[in-house]
Amino acid sequence: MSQLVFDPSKVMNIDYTKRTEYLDGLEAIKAAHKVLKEITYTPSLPDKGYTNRTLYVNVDTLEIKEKPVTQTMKDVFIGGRGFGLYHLWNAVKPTTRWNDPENEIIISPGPVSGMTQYAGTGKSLVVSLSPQTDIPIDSNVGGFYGPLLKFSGFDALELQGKSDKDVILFIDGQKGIIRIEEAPTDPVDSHVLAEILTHMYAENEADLPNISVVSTGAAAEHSLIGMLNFSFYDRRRKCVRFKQAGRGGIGTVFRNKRIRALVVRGPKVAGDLNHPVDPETIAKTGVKYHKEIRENDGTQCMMRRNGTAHIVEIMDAYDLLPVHNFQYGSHPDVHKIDSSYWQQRCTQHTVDGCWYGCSMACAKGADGLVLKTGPYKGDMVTVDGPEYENAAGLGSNCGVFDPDYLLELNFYCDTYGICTITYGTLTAFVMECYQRGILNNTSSRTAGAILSSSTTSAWRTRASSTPSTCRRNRWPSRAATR
Amino acid sequence: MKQLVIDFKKCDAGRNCEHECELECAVKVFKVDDPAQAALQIKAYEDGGGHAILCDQCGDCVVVCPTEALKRNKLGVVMIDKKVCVGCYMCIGFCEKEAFMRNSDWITPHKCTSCGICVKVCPHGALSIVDVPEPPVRII
Repeated sequence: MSQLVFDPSKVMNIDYTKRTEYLDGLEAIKAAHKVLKEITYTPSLPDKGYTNRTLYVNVDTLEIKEKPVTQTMKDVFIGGRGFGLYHLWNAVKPTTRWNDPENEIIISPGPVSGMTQYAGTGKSLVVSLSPQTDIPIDSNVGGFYGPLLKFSGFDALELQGKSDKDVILFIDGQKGIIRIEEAPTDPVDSHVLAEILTHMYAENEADLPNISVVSTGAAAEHSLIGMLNFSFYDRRRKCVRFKQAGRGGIGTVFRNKRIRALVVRGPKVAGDLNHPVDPETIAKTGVKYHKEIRENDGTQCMMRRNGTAHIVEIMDAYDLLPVHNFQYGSHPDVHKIDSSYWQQRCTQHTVDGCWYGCSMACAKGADGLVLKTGPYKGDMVTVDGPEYENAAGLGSNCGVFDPDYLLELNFYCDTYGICTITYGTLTAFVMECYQRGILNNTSSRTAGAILSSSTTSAWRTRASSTPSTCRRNRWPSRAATR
Repeated sequence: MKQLVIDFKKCDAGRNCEHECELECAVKVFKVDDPAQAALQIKAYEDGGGHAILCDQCGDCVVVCPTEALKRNKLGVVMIDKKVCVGCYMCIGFCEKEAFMRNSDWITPHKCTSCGICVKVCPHGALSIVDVPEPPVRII
C-alpha cells in the first residue's frame, strides 16, 4: 500500500453553498407550538470548567429543577461519561428497563467543553439504558449542543419521564428561559426538523451559530437502533449539519419519551468562556497542536482531507475491512470508496470540523449530493463525510461500492435517525442469511424483499464486483438493499 | 494587495538601531510598550545578517478561520474582526511565516495590517509597503 498524495487539482468543483431548503411552513409550525411549562433562571458561565449545576427535566410531570454539582462528582465521576453514569445510577432501579419512565437520557459535556484553543472540546457524552441491551450505554458526539449547554449554565442535562405528546425542550442561555413546548406539527426527519428549529429559535442571522438542536428521525420510533443528531450551524455553507450519538439506540429512548427535539440557544462563543485554571498552557498547547497538524497531517493520517475514512485502504491492505458481512477483509473495488475518492469528493475549499478550533477537522462534508431514491428524491443535500464506519459499514460490508449511493445511505440513516454502524452490520447479516438460503423472498420474514444485488436496477448496475475469494468459493455476489 | 516588505541590504537586523519599527508598531498600533508584541519582529543571526517575521498577507489564515473573523479588506490586507473571533488560534498554528501573534492578556490574536507605521520610523529606510497581486486561495 502506498501513501496517497493529495492533489488539489482533482478536487471536484462543487458549490458548497447550494442545497435544497426546508423552511417552508416554519411560521405555521411555530404557531402550532404550545408552551406547556416555562421557567426563568440565571445563566452563568463555567468557572474552571464547571458551572456547578446540572439541569433535570421530567417530560411527563414537566418538573424542571437545578441540581448542584458536588465535589465528589468532580473527583470521582470526572468527565461527561462520569456525570452521565452518576445521574443514571441515581435515577434507575435494578428492575428498570430502557422504556420505563425512570430511565434517563443524560447529555453531559465534560469540564474541558467548549475551549476553542484545543481540538475536540465540542464533544458531549450521552448516557442511557440501551434498548438493545438494557444496560447502560454511552455515546460520544460532536456538534454544538454540549458546549452551548455548558455556556448556558449547565454541566449536564437529565431527561426523565415519558410525555404523552411530542415535546421540545428549549434552553435559552441568553435570556435565561427554559421552556417545554408541545410540538404537534413539527417535521419528523432530522435534516428538515433541525433546519426549521434552528431558524425558528434564532433571533436573526447572526444568532444562527448560537443554536444547536438534538433530534432524531422517523426510524428511531420503529426500531431499537435510533440515534441522536447533534446539530451545528456551518457559517460558510450556511446550513445546519450534524454529528451523531449513534451507538446503543438512545434515539429510540428519545422518541419513546416523545421528545421531538432539544434546542439550546447559547451565548455568543468567545475564546475565554470556559475559564480554565491555566489558560496560557492551554493556548500554547493548542497552538503547538495546530502546527503539528499543519506540518504532519498531510503526509500521515490526512484527517483534514478525508476524516476517519482515510483508514479504509489501510484496513483493506491489512485484510481487516468488513466485506460482505465480515466474510472477507478486503475487496478489489475498495479504491472506489477509499481516500483516493473521498479527498476529491469531500469539499476541501472550506472549513470543516464540528466545533471551533478543531484543526483536525474530521467532520468532513460531501456537498451537492442529489438524492436518487426515497421521499427526498431530487433534493440536493450536504452529507457527512462519510466517516470510516460508514464507508466500511454501509459500503463494503453491504457490498456497496458506488460512493454516491453510499452517501445516500448515509443521508437516509442520518435523517431517519438510525445508527449507520448498526444498520450496516445488521443489513450485511441479513444479506448473508439471504445468500445462504436462511432467508428468502418467499419467507414472511423478508416481507417479500429480495436481499440481493438484483433488488433494484440502480443497485444492480452499481453492485460490487465479486471478490476473487468469492469466485473461488462460488458464492454469489451481493449488493445492498434498502 | 498592500504588503510590508523588508530589504536586508539596508536593514542591519537591529545592530545599529533601537528596533524603532517594532517599538512604533507596539506603541502606536497595539498600545503597549513591549516591542515583543509588535506585528513584525527583526531577528539578528549570530554570524551576521538577519531575518524578519512579518505577514505577507498570503491569506492562508483566512482559509482556516472557522468563524470568518479573518477577511481581506479593500486593499487586500487580511484584517481580523475581534468581535467575531473566538480565539481558537488556528490562524497562528497554520501560519507558515509564524506572523500571527498572541499574548496572555488578549484572547484574540493580532497581526500586521500593512499600515506602514513602521516604515516611517526605520532609520535605514529598509521597510516599505508594496502593491503586489493577491495570491490564489490555497486548500489548507
